[in-house]
Amino acid sequence: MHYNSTADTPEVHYQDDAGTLAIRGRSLPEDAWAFYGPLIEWAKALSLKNSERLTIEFFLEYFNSSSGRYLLELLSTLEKKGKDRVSVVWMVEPDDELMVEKGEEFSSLLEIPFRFVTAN
Amino acid sequence: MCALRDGSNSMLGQLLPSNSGLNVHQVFCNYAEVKLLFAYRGAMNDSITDAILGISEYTLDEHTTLAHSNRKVSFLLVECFQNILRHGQQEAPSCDLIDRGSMFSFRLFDDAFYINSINRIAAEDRERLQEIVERVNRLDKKELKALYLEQLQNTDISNRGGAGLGLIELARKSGRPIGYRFEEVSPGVVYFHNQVCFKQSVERELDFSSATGELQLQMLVQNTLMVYKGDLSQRSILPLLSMAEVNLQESMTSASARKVGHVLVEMLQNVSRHSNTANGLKEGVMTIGEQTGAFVIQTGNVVSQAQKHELDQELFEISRHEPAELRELHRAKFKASLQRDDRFSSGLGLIQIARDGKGRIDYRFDPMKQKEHFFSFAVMV
Repeated sequence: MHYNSTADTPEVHYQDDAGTLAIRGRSLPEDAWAFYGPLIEWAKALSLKNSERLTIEFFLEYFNSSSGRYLLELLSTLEKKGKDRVSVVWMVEPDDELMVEKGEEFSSLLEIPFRFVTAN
Repeated sequence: MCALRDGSNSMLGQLLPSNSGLNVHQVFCNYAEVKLLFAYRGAMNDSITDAILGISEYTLDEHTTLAHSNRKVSFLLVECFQNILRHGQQEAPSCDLIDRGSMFSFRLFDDAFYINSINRIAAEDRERLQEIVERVNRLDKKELKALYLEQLQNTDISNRGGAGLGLIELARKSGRPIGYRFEEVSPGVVYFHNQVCFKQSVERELDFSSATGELQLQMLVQNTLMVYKGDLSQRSILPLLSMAEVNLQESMTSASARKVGHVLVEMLQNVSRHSNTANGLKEGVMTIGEQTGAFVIQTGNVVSQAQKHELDQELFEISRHEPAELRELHRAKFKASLQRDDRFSSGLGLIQIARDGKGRIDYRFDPMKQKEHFFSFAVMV
């Protein structure tokens, strides 16, 4: 699965063999459901076989409150695949405290592990 | 439709200036007939040229009589803006009431598009510039074309990259003389006020030169960098964000700039969600200014009685919390948002703005006709 980024939606890239889902860029759509709805449906249908794991890598510049709501729903859906099989890498620009705070808020509402990484 | 009054039910931060100052309600009322207004005295550099085009593009696309002239208007905008870059003396936005710095503005009024610039130039360039403008203004269409071709072959290019070609092109593409006047400011510094108008009909254009000077002064008093009145649907929000980013990155770290960007997006989308759509446009007002080392963003739009009630309740609830408590309040609402059915509203926008602004918010409602209200909202980031 791959979506190219647009002026107000992020790039989304799923790599089955690597077990990664990367979401990068800015997420400011007016109708966030139109963008995230299909992604949430995809997440519902995803099945992790045997010892398969999934890492969700976020590197977001901006996201609006509606995107935040659906990102939480996406993570909450993926969490149901197994709390020990799904993890998040939350990448931020140096000194971007606000984005760290936002990541910490997601982390506090979920039971999957979050790793915070500062981009070089 | 508008009744400007001082005194308000503003709360918390006192960030919204009274109506003797420049606030979004005053802009909305004073420019009621202006469909699109953009005034800018922030950082002048090439990286905002695209954003300037983006700001006008959508409104023009939706405007019946000017839609097919969009490319011509875009050309005029770029040429006028780059005139400031090429010939103006660029300095950081000034706070000096006498030497006020350059300003770029445009407005869509009565089926005509006006571009007004105030260009700070060296006094020694005045005579040459005046000669070029007067010459250009005396010529008809055919003569302008001949002069253009002649200048193209002429190697007498000024060291700032122009030979009057820009001014010739402005006159050719607009089909009208360039309005101008000079203002002596201080020894060695002159302001070149100029107006370029694009209008389909042959009627006489209005002169907004003085009005532009007054707006510049008002913006300067409050250190407002940008004023925008017009469409605030998604297509218009993105270029406004780009424009703000350039200014923010000039004066703060990129992390702080992004924080302001976060708040700006949320505020503009809040207007977009709650504005009535008329002729495909969602009308609102936005200003960005600097105050005591922080940025103050103001937005404003017309809301119904029911929307006022809803906003009032939500903002009153937010204002009861200390800044430190806003984080927990947001977290609780964020969790609850998973249960919401409303696809277009997360119910998180205002609380997120207040949290990111560390509680430094201000708002008020001014009554308008037919039980409508003007909602002014300000945040310091």
